[in-house]
Amino acid sequence: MLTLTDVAKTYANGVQALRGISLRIDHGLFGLLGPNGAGKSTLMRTIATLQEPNSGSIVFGGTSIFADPTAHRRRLGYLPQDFDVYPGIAAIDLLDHLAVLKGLTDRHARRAQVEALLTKWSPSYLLQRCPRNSARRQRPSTGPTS
Amino acid sequence: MSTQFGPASAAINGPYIVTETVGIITLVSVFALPMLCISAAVRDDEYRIRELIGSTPVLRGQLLASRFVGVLLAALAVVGSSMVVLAASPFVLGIRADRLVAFHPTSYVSAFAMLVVPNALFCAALLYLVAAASRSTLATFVASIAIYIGYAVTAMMVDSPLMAGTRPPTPELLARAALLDPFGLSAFFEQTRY
Repeated sequence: MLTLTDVAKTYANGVQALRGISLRIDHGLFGLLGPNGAGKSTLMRTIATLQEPNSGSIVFGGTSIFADPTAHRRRLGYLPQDFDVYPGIAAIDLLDHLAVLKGLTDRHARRAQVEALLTKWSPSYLLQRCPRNSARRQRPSTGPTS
Repeated sequence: MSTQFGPASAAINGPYIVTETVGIITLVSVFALPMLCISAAVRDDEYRIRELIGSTPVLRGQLLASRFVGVLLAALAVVGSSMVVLAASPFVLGIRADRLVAFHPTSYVSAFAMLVVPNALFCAALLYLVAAASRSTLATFVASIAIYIGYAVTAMMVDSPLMAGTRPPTPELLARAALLDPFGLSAFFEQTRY
């Protein structure tokens, strides 16, 4: 259960992106809809502990996410709306690197998980393991967004 | 074949010229270090992947430290490789036998330990700090130029053999330049002056 109570965020330039956001989100899918500038990305960045709110609280599993952001990030899957990738790196290597940062330290288990995910998403990305493959620099053009 | 470095009486693969040459190599490396530092410290912003990295459990301090270690090891590997070439060159190039001495690995090892490691550590730390704090490619390159200017000023103060036409230094200037020179070359020339 994720509970947001009266969350507010105002940036240094004076723009108030969030004001009085209160939500209770249970297990399952939850859609966040709104026009550009409504504060969707700000809210996602805040829930991802990339920035702290000016006021209000965000509690996940009974604990404030800012009490131990590292522990929260271990359970977090976050894909920003707009991102790029390092040039010249294969998708499998990038995912492997992110998995290391995520805390998957067992090399074989991590590799198997990454390959399973790539196979499920797009088997063609597995071909990019070949370092001289011309498709190596290909990167995903679409993906889940925040 | 002749060399431009060191006194004519010194052996080309002797400790003096090896140390001097290695010092010059580290001097040049200050212009390559920004690229390593920028790649390590700024690329997350450059390729807009900062949020993905930032949402992982790795603390920012750990991330910065691990990447700095990578920068340092890469810099040491590059300079170390050039030292291998430097060590091999007297045997490959046609150098007069009277300018050579028997190969002593300690000349290269001590130059690496006394000049390369401290210089790489100092320059990489400073440039990485600028790159990580400013997240600016331009600021990092400007910092590398500032380090070089720092060397040039102290080299003039110490009447470095690498700086032609400088005035004879006083002992006080020599001591100050030896302490201020970020590359340790002034200290080397000051210590080997007589």
